[in-house]
Amino acid sequence: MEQCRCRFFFFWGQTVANKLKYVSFSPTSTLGITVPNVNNSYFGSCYTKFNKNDPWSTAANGEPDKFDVQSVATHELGHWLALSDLYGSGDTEKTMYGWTSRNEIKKRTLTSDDIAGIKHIYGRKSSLVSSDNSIYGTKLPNDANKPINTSEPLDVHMGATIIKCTHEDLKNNSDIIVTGRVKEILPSKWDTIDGEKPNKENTKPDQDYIIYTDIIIHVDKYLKNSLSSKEVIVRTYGGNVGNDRMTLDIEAGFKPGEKVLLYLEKDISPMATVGSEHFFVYGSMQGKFTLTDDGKAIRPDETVSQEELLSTI
Amino acid sequence: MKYDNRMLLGVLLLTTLLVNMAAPASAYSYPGYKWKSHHPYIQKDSTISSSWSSALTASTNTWNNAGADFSFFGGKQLLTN
Repeated sequence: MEQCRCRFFFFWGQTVANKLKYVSFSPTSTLGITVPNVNNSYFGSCYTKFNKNDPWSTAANGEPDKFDVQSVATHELGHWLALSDLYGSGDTEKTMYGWTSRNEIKKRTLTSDDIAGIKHIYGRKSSLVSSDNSIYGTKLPNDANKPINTSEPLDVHMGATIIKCTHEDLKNNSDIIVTGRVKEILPSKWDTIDGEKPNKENTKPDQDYIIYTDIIIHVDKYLKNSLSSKEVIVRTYGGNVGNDRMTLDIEAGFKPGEKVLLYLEKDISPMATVGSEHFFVYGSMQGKFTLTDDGKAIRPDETVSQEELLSTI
Repeated sequence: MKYDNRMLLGVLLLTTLLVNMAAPASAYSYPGYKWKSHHPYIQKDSTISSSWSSALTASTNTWNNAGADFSFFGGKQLLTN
């Protein structure tokens, strides 16, 4: 029999597709992350990871100092429907609000806007569908049974649930705090063995893979736990590799030459061994302030004086 | 009289238009893609403790019962791989 020598192959379909997982990843401020795999405007598959490094609760009314499984899961499953994270001051009661706190259970219940979103995308329920949504007479078409054609470009819009942090939280939970300047943004890579797009040769079974981007920061000053190096590498989720793109709205963004103050957490996930030693920004965009020449420290949801910010560290 | 009615209708239409323009546009955010089947299969893998089953099933049912033509397909309890 003649062997096919073409570079076309399938992956993902039978490994991580459409699964909920409980694994270790960084930063620990990200409780859950959902990664849809999209081809031609349709989901091919989707998975959600819950962070094993955080304390969780399944108690009916939640538990102090723990994060509610049902609340975070309902938010993450909203990403499975294709709803994106919301961060506006008018969005705080919605399930799709991207920030959360310990013992918060309100995301378990959908608001009228969350419901309007799903009805906009999928239309209203047909009367032909059973009222018990989990039971059907025959097995319905299953998108996940159609493996992804990796020869086509991916455009993945990730969603996440992030712990809402005070300045005190950022200080206490970061391993190092630095001020410095963005020296270089390195080319994005896949977190596979060779940095290339996942295929049969560069992946392990039951592993999921994403695109990441490393940023080199020239350190001016360590404000917490000094290192000997004058440079640190900060890893962010998302980026472009070839025609493939992954984005995560809540991730801290960087510009070359930008002066920054960063709350950083060492990577404690299995991904820590991929590439150079690196850190994540604790709290995603909350843990990165842009420092301006007129003495301000700015992040998307807050502007404070640098003096005031430094006094909290 | 006819003229008054037309004026009234015009004012009503204009008001409706202005109210709609002022309505918040970000009640939800949607990047433009979706499941073709509207009924994706979902399962939890072996890393997830069985003690999470009820909470995860409740989460899927919350979306299943939202009144949209969408539901997770995974049985009454999420299937474990």
